[in-house]
Amino acid sequence: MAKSDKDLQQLIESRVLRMNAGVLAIVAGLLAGAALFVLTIILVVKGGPNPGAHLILLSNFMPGYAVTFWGAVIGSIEAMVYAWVVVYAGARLYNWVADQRHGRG
Amino acid sequence: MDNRSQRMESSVAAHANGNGNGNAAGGFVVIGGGPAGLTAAYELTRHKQKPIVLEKGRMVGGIARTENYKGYYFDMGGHRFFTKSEEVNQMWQEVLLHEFLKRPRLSRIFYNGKFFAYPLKPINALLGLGIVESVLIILSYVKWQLFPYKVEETFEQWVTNRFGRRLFQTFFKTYTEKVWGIPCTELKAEWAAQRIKDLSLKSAVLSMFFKPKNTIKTLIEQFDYPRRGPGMMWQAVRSQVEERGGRVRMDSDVTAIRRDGCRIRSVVVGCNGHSEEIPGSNFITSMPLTEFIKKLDPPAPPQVLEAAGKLKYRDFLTVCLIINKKELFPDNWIYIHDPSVKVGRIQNFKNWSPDMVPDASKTSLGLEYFCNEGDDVWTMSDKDLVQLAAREIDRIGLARYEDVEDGCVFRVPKSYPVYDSDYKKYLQVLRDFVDSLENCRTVGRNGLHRYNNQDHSMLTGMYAVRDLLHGEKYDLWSVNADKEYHEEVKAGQAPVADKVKAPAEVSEASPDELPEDVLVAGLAPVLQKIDRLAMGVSAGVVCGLALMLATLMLFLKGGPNPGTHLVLLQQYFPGYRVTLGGAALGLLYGGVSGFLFGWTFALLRNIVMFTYVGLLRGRARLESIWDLVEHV
Repeated sequence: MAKSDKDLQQLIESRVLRMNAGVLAIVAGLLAGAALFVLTIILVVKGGPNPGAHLILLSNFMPGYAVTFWGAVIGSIEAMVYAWVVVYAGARLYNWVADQRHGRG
Repeated sequence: MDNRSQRMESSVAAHANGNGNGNAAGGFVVIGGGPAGLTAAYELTRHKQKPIVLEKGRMVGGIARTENYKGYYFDMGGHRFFTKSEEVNQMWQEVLLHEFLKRPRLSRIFYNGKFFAYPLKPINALLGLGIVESVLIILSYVKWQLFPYKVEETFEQWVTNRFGRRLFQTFFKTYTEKVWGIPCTELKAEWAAQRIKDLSLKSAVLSMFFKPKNTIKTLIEQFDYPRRGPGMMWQAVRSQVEERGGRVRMDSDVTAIRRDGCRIRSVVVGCNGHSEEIPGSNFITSMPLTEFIKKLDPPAPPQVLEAAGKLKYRDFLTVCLIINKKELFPDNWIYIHDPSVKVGRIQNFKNWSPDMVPDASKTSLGLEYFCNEGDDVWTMSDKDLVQLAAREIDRIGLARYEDVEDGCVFRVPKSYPVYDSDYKKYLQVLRDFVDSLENCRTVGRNGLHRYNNQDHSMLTGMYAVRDLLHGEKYDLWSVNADKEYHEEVKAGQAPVADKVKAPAEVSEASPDELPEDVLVAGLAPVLQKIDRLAMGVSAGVVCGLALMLATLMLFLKGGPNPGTHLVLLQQYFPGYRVTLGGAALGLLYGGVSGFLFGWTFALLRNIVMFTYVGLLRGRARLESIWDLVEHV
């Protein structure tokens, strides 16, 4: 077996995953921001007497969010930040626990 | 002075004057006109040298020659022109640019009365082997994956560890012993390790992301082939060597190799009943290593001579049949694993190249019998061998006995060096002695007693020239055109580290391929398991804190009925409220739920990844099974 195969085999069998917190957080943030923006805009375009009656509840946690275009922009930024923080913290916590159990990766 | 001495003297004088043979005293002498020797000569002429090549037989090509019988061409062994070496490929194109055909590749295994497809297809294999046998093979495979041999010394152990004992005994044992003539317990594992590409997890994982740029050699679906067989290539090389001032002499058997200590001085050549001595400054020899040692004058030390007597070869003969049928079967060749017939492999030369067959209404086959020089098969008369082959091809069902019009036999001695249980120690003795010779290099399959392919042998010829001309050191004993060799060379892991140079020109890497260590570091996280506890804890903490903070935010915001929607969570979390106490409960509930979610996610992900890796390994294993079949 080639040396690189042996290295790969050893890495797979003997070690557990460590997460790249930065990468995961960025991805989560982008996804969350994009998702909230799209969901909000859909409701804005759909219109009606009381658009986004439930989505607007997010304004309890995201000051400035509204079911309008600019509300969607503000909300998506806030969602990005929240998601980034949560996922980053979660991934760092995972890595810390894994390090405690298996030694530094 | 007798006539023989007078002839010898005049020959030596003629050579000393550079008269007629292009090899003045001080020139290169190449022993052997096969791929290694002729490539060395070609390389020498590229460096403005004028070598003399001495070939024992009546034609060039060595064990890769192409014989001719009544206008039918027969390739001795079947030689595909496919290489990972850019240098070798370049030489092929230079020599025979417009004479190559692109041929589709098809080969199958004949076993137990059935044909097994290539690439190995699970359904085809299942139907061929039968359900009961297939299940037993799978169970045996699992057992040997769990409890393998701790040490792999023999071929049997090597195969069993990778494919299970059942598959080894069913499929490989009889064929391997048919080919090699010795029990698999006496074949060394390292022969398999050298010849057979082991399953590559890296390749399998890469295939998840990229279409492979570099195909595994045994899986290529087409290959290049000279119109009239490999002999056409070697004839062309010979012509070019001679055009550039070199000389290629046929029917020239080297009977003695004269030396002064560690320097070879000259060779004695027998030709048409005459002997002549040919001096030289440097010598490249592809003759069998054992013969080389035995022909040294003065003789090699006793322990070296003894070791030379211990190395073994496997020979083969091919019975060429001309069949009165336009088409017989679509394969280029078929492996005959079936123990009920003696034939080991059948070549269909028309499928290699239509130009090998002068009459399009007929087909020519080569039935290859693996044997030892002097044994029953080897000593059978040609007539009896043709009869045997005709009966066996009928028995297999590929052609009818009545359709066999004509046949002939070609014998190829010393086709394969045998890696039995003791060969390594004897080879080391010979190697140590040969490495001490200052102006001589041994090359090629037989010169190195190494089961090389044609392109590997060519490379040894090239490297030997560069060593003798320019002092570039290569470990010829480890040359292999596959990339793994060069990985090991670059890492400094070759057996003779101070003599190793990584031949930079031999590379299959594409320009944008990542370095190995970067690749491994990047690939590993894809397959590593997630720590379930760590995942559960991190998800639990995040979820618990999120729910607690959300509850607190609503509580602090206040209002007549805060969190009318968030409080719906109490349907899943009894006692939860949008209050301070509820926030604490939310932390607990969120934590537990998050932990369960994270832990379960990690578990499922690990199971799926483990299964997927297993499938990747299984696919790679199937590929390596075929690699094993190809190289036995």
